[in-house]
Amino acid sequence: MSAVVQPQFEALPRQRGPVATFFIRLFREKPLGAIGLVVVFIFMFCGLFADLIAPFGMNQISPANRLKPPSARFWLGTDHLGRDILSRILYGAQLSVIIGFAAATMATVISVVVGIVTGYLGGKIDLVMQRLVDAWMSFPELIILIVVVSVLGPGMWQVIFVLGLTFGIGGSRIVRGAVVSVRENMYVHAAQSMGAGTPRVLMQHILPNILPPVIVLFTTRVGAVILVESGLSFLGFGVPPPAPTWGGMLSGSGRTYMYMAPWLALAPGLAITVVVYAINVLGDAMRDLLDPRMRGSR
Amino acid sequence: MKRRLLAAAPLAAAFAIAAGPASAQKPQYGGNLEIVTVSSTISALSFDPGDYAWKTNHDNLHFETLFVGDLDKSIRRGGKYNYRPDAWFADEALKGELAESWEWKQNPLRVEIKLRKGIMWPAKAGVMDSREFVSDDVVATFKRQVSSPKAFKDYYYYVDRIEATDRHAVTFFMKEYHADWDYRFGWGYYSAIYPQELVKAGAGNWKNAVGTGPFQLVDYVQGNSQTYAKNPIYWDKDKIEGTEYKLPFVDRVTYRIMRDETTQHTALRTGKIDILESIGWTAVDSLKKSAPQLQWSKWLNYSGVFLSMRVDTKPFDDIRVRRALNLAVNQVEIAKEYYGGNAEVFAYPMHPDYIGYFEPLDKMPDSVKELFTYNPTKAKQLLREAGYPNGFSFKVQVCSCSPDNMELLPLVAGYLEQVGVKIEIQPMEYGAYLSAMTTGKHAAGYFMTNGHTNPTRSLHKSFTPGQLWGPSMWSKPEYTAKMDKAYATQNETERQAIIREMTREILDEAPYIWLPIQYRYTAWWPWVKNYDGELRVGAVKPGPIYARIWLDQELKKKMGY
Repeated sequence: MSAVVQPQFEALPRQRGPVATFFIRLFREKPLGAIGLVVVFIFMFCGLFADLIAPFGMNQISPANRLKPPSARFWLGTDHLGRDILSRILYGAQLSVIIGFAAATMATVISVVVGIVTGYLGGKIDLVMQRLVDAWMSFPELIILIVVVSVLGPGMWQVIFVLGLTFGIGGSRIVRGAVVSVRENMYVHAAQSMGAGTPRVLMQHILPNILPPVIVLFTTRVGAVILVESGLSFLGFGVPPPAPTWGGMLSGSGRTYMYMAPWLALAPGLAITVVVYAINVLGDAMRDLLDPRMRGSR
Repeated sequence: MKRRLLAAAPLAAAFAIAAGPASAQKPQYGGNLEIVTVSSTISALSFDPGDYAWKTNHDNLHFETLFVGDLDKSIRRGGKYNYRPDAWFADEALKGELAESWEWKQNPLRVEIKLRKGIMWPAKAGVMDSREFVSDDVVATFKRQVSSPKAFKDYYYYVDRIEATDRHAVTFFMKEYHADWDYRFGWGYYSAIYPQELVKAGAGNWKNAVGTGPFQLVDYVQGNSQTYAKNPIYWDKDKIEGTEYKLPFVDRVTYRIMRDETTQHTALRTGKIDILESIGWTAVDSLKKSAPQLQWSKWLNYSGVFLSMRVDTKPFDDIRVRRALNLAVNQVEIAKEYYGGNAEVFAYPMHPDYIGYFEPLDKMPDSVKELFTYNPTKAKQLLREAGYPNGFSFKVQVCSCSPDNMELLPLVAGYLEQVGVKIEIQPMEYGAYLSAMTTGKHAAGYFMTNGHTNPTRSLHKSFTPGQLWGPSMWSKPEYTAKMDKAYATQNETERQAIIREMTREILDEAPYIWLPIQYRYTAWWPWVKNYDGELRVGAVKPGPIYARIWLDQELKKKMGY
């Protein structure tokens, strides 16, 4: 009886999912982007759980404690109404999360819809819509924002709407570029020759293949929206008080008491800088990792 | 900057002498006077007095009125008047401007006014040739003001008619005596006298602006600046040390519109502006430190700050709710902590300067005194009794043009939150904000700064029907009757008693959350002469003050500016 020889198989290394691979590469190849990711997570955590972690209410006044410098009780000091600045920064993160993500989502949807339609269909539709985009982009962004907010009145939803629209139309140019490149691929032609309708081609073949630039676009838009919202609030066109937007904190009491209590301006200023910087380096890292043309570069 | 500091140091001691009595120096002509005025954030609302815009006198330095504050009776010249109230004078602080003299006569009741002779309207291309100011100008102006569609209801009801009795004399025939007769048509907000040629050319167009005043408007950039050039044929003179000087001294006056307080302070500190008329207390110490040569005056604001509650809407139709909201706000804490002690808890609707009309809080009835105490427990109890045990929320409109109010309102919101009342703040641009109130379309809450005006008008304009400045919509027929009685009372002592009683009554009704009034500061450089922080010699009328200012150009150069 001859011995049965069992074939020996070498265990293949376990395949990781694309998300896990992305994060591993992010931490290995893009440490600055990884730090950005951590900061963004902290920022989102603060925003989502501000109600639980803020030591005081966002508009909990205490005039007897006005303009107190940072201390054990008030880590970042108090403002001119005696409100705890740390708490307002945390609640401000909540507003920034809502505004940043809502406006960036709206902007991305607009960019994708306009970009895909014009890029894929081409012809006169592309010509007309892109000229409209050109016209829109020729106006200074801030002026459009101020005019629209002046007409609609200040408020969170107005700011989201205006920023979403502004960034969305501008961003459609990037999406269109990606679509124009993808639509010439063989698999798209194959789908078309097999009789796939335009919606199917767009949803099944074009959209998945332009997702990397869209994700990067979304990420960078979050940072840009937070920055522009701060600018609008700084100019008095943002979310009305007593909502603690970082830009509003910087422009209102931050400027008035700049000499007497510099922490009023420093805290929101630093918060804006750190978060926007973190989002931007994360966006850069994502672009490098997701864009096939950038592979191999570090 | 360093050069300026070095230059300033050895001169510092000399400034005390240089900034001393104006008599030590001979006035100089020329120069540009750069000012950020008390209305630092708001451009001209209209150049046509017929539009009844409250800033008319402030922006139309080319217009004059029949009467004006007598700057010879200012504290600077040994008198007792500071000329800072927005629209109030004691009778003796007044003199004729276009009027030379006036006299009351009976049967029929009338005021006969003699006008100054020789005053000229300057020539204005496309509008008019130069000609003499005459009584027909007064009559035509008055008739246009009365018939303006924007005129206040019954504002001149007590005037029967006006007649030009001579080329330089007019008579106002009265239906009855009115305590504000001189204020309303003589030196008030809407009393400017203008030529009919201007009306024909278009009084609302700033390019047509022409008047007998010390300056003529030559440039206007909305939201940025208003520039006035000297009127070379201006009639008035100023006597300094026995010598008469033709006015105005400076060649130009420029108003700079600056919304941002920090920018205002920087402009003052760097000498870009000569006078900053209204400064909040928080900036004073740093300005004194960085620019120790600045001259200063301090004044209790002539404007009340309040949160008006519409009594014609729920829940503010219930006085318990209105009183509850007053009790929920800690006035003393605001004055002491928020304003750092630079405020008075009780100074509106009567200003402490209104001697005889103003009563301090400790003289008020207990029910009024109570409104200025902090008692959130009783506030909650009153809200419970009124049917709001869990509080409520309401919208408050505020002008984004007022950084002070934009900062103060969240504080009030914070207090109200503690008794369960939430407010939604709606910042508005000035035009929309004002129009909301004047058309009666404003929200239930309206956060406002409003001038005291004068003892009678302060109550009349806000708490009688048909008036422009009544955001609370509060009025009662019996209260209006008392107002009419006060106006018809010639004896001032009796009138003061009526006004005191009416003030107590309206305070007790709590149509507003009455908030503390802060002290403000005016600062100017030592090269600004013949000036001591005076702000108005009529209803928000600064023209004659600016006409008397002269600039010591040498001193300015020596100081490095």
